[in-house]
Amino acid sequence: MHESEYITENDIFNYVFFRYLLKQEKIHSIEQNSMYVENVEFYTNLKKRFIRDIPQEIKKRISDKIAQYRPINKVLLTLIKEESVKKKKDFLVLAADSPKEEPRISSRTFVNEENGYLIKLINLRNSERIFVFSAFEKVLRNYKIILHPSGKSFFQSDNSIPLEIDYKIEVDNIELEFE
Amino acid sequence: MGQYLSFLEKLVDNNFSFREVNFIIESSYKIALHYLNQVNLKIQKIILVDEVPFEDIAIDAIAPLFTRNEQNEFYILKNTFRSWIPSVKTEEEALFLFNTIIANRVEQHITLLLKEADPFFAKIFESINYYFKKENLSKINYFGTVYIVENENLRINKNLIKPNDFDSLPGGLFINKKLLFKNILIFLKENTEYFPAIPINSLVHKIKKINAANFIVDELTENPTDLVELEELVSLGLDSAKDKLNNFYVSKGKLSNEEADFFTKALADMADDLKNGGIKHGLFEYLDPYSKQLSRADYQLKYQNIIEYLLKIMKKTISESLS
Repeated sequence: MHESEYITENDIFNYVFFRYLLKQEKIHSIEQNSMYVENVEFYTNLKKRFIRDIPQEIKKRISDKIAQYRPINKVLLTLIKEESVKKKKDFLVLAADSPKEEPRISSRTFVNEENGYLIKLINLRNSERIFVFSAFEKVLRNYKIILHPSGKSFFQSDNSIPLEIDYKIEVDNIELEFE
Repeated sequence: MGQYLSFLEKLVDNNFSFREVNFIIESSYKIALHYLNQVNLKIQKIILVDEVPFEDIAIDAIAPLFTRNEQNEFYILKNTFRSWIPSVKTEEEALFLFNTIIANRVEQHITLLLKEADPFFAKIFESINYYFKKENLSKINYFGTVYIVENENLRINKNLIKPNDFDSLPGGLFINKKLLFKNILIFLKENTEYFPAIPINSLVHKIKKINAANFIVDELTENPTDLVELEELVSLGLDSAKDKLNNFYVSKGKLSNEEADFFTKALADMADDLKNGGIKHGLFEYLDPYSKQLSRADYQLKYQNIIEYLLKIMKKTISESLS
């Protein structure tokens, strides 16, 4: 068998997880040879398992048996930065005009460094937008954003779009609570 | 940098957030559960005998990887990462390394469970390893199963034999223990379409079925042990369990005579299964046919600890007789 046609377990793994790493002739060999059907299915099933969440009850059992595992369902993020951004005037103010209140945008950043969470809170004139980011997970799912001191909470099924609150609210720090 | 490569590189200076450690533990658990679910049904039945769910077996399998040494390091992962050839440089390689580490860990854990479930399995496994070390052979893990292959034939380029097909190989191949590996590998090459590789756990089961007596050897003399009759060994184990049942549980009034009667019948069935491949299903299933309308709740409350203890005594007696 020619070297380029020899298919290893690592090749099958890459075929399923990182196909861009394989040369076209290997992809062709894997797809044309029925001997690899089960092997591809093996890693396809593993890939599917990776995207499934682990139930809380199992997380509890992991933490019972592995001391290093500390499942967290609440994380407190504290304020580290506050910036005001004045909106640029795009109109002429005549001397006789009464001074108008300028629309102001301010942004505040809350972080929990240990757990890799960052929240950007954008204060618009009469509303708030909250963006949640994680250093470790591409998508965060099913969590509550709890704003302190009011304790008001808002559920988000994922962090692909910001949370929008259509009124002003005082925020000193923010808690994330995961289901 | 990706999460897996970053974790592996941080093993050197041991500087992780617990969020990173959590992520790696959760990934390891998912991989372990996947491998357990792929194990063949015969082995699944044996390792599930104590009714411990796969989720817990997966956790037990990965737990040793996350123990720390005196320097507070994850030393098993650190040593594996350091010694891995070729060295891991990308996120893609790092994930494959994790996958390989977990596959090996799960296989080792399954072997441990099989040994605990069946004293004959343990002894034959030891004997196979003894002969394996004398040959020019290697062990490789391929999609979660460990195979014995020739050193000059490590590149798998054909299908591997399935457990059921391996079980159907001619019994004559398994008679001569000194030529065991050679005979099977030649047979696979010359008479089948399979790649010449021997799945170890299937080999142990096959030997147990047809040739256990001859295979349980004294490693110093290379002679079969005197206690070679499976029947005799199992009978010894059964007697010791029945002694405990009558002289402790019945005589102290912990079980009635009627209860002792169905325990005795259940123990006899368990002994039969030990002879024929190991305990095959949950222990409740052994008591259920003989007790009147036994509910699972009653079983767990009144009988589970007793039947598990009696089985332990039976297996311990057999193990001691074998060693």
